[in-house]
Amino acid sequence: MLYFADKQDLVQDIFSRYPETERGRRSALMPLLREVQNAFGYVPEENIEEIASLLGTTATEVKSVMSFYSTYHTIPTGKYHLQVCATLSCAIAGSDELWDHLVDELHIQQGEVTPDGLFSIQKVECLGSCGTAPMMQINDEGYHECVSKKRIRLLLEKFRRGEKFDPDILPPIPIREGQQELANGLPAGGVATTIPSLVEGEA
Amino acid sequence: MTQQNMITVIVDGKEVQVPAGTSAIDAVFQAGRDVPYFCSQQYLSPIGACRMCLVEAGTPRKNPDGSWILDDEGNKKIFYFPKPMASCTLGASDGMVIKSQTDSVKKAQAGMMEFTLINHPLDCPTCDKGGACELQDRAFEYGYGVSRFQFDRRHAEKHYELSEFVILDQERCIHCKRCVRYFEEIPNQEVLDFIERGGHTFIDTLEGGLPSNFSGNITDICPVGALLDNVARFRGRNWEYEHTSTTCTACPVGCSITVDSRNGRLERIVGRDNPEVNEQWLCDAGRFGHPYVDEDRLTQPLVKVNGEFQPATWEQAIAAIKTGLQGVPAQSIGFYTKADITLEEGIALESFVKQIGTPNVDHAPRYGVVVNAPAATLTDVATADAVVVIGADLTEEAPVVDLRIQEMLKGGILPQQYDFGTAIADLRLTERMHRHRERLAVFYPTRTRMHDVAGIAAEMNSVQVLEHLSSVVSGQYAGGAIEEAASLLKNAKKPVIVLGSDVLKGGQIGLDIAAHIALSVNAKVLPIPADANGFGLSRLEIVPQNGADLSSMGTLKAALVSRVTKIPEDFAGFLVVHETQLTEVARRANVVLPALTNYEKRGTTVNLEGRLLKLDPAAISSGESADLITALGAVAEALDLKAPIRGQRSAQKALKDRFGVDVANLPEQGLIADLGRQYNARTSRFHRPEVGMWKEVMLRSKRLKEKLGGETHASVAD
Repeated sequence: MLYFADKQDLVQDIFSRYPETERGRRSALMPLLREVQNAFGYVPEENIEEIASLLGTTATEVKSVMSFYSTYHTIPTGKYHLQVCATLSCAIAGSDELWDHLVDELHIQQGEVTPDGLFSIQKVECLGSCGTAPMMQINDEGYHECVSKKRIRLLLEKFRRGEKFDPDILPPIPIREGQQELANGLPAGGVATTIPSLVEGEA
Repeated sequence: MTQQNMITVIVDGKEVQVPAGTSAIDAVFQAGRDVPYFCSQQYLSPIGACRMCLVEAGTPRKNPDGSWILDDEGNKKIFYFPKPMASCTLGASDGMVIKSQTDSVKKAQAGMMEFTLINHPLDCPTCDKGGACELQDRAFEYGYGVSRFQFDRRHAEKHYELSEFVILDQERCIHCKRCVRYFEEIPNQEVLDFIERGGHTFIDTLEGGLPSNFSGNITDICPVGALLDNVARFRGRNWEYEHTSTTCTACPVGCSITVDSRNGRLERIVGRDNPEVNEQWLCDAGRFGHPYVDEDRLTQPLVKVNGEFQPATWEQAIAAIKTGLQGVPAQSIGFYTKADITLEEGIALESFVKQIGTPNVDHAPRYGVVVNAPAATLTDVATADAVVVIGADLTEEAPVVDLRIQEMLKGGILPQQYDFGTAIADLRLTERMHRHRERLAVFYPTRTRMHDVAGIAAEMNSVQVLEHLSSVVSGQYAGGAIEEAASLLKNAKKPVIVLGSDVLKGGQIGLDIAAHIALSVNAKVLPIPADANGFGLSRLEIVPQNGADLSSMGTLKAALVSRVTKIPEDFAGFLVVHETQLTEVARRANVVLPALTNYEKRGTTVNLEGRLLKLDPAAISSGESADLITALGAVAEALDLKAPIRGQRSAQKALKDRFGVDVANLPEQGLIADLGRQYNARTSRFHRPEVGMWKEVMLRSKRLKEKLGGETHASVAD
């Protein structure tokens, strides 16, 4: 299914952010991938080819860039894509146990989606919150820190009920008037990380 | 090596002068020392990926006042980099000290080798790379011999067919990125790349195969057994091959190749470095199109008795020719040969037809035109600041010219030449170099690969292009691509015009217009001859000045035809065919003489630049097959004559007398020499050029025929 066929304005808007040169045009690769992933939850093969033809490059090149980043998916993901940081600090703080717990709890492995289409899991490289390890990111919506089994249970229950679950750290939103802000209005990086209120003793 | 902007580098205590901008690895090689490397390749950008070429390096520094910082003994103090450096990406600077043999360097290199081998499958005893593996050699030379990593190796897909000709074994890949860089930097086709990252990285393509033009080169440059030549795979081990350095005659480019034969069979063809011609690259047809050489070869003469061929000795064949030619006047005998014969065979043919006094001689395919403009070399093409291609589908007609144009688009940087050969890591080459597409204009009646990379391109009739271009050059206005191409030519300092079959087959008028354009804008011209030695043979008098050309063969009573693919239906005379296989033409013969292929000949060929290149015979068993000189000798014997040229030596002497060039002692890279006037004669429509990378003869193999669509790429309609 072609995604950009009826979205020429969007494509032009993305291209307009980069220099009008061959190299500049290639820079649009990442936002185009992001658009497709936001729409489908992953980037299907035909859209890799579509992006390649938009950029005047090859599908191999697009796949190469895309596969470098764990943030892009080549296979469908669940509505809530749970990304567990598996790099050193988190590993020491128990991310392997966290992963095993998720596998047991959801009965899925990496690359699979729960039958209700709600959850998928993925081990990712360092998410940059080593001080509050182990930590997890859900979709692109922010960090859940010091994740314990109890916290996982609470998270999954809330999501199953369809309720919103605020992350501990929201992702920064684009720079406005020189200041990068979090979605809740606080300046990005300006305040100390808040220790999650939901940590209640159990590990 | 050029002698400008030289700097002094001290390698292992030895002072060596190198041009500024030289990489440390090249300085080491220039000093006669060795450094192991996997990721560097002479014609690719250095990236420092394999970390094998680690050396200790340091430079002197200056005080703020400009004086040198000195050590206790009053010498310039050398400030070493804190760790060994990858010498391929390290620029040598004046006064730099490089140590390539210290214990620390040896430890670093051995450690790197250990690291590279962590996940390598160590297939060495069974690996189909067959002992041509740089990793194996370097591991033996520089490795520890043991590994501290005792765990299960990573496993990946084995023996995965990337295309008909290239097999990938992902497990063996050491991520040197040579193949990935090759495809982007040389043919400009990004069809291979790293997928995934870190420990999961593997090489693959999403394009459904590799394009079938220049894909084979990756099998040459892969330093391990990851990318393999599917045609030569499992044929032999590297040390079993007889390596013969010779020249490819599949097209007029004349690429330097090494022919590997084993047990009398041609098993493999690999590219050989010739910076002037093909650098190190070959087209797929030249590399993989060789299996026909060993298929159904004629190994002895055949004589037709009662409509059936019977094997015969050369004496019996000569006797049969004698009977067949009895009473036939010399004026009614014709001699026709394919235009890829050697210069030696050509001059033997010329002297023989003169001796017997027949005007009926020709070589085919050829264009009946003369180019009266300064000739361009392939280096001129690669370093031009404007190239206009008219009427040529270069990728098919002369594939490696396409690669030299790609080189021109990258700014025409030719890797530096040193005493040890081509620079291993020329730092001027970088990944994803800017391509000056505006410097290339391409005109051809249908779309070609070059259209996609050219800044100026149009699908136009070639004669029309020439006429319009000529009028714009003379001051008129034509608009569009023609106008742009004309101003490209006019504003360039070193323009080159490449003329292909669509212009050359159109007759002399197109060539005269092209010559006018070239002279007006001070451009050099590179015409693509119709066959491998078309350039050389046109300097010999073997065209029908007053006699019958190939299409008029029907008027003759007898003919000797050497490796020509088609002769007129109405020829009913006595026919001697000199052929490698029993072709359609050979089946019509009265006597068939077995012929040598160009892989088995000794002699000289002249490529499209006019460069004389050596042919050396590979050890291929072809029985009693002989070259054209011997075949002509047989005809001479049948006519009770003593041919003036009866062997290589007399042919070479005749060539020396004629052209003033000692072809017996040509330099390795070939020699451009003035071969004098060009002999010309009209050609009939019969001489329609055979263009297409895959020549008919290469498609003998059924498998190849099916894979490549069953036919050669046809020329554009007349």
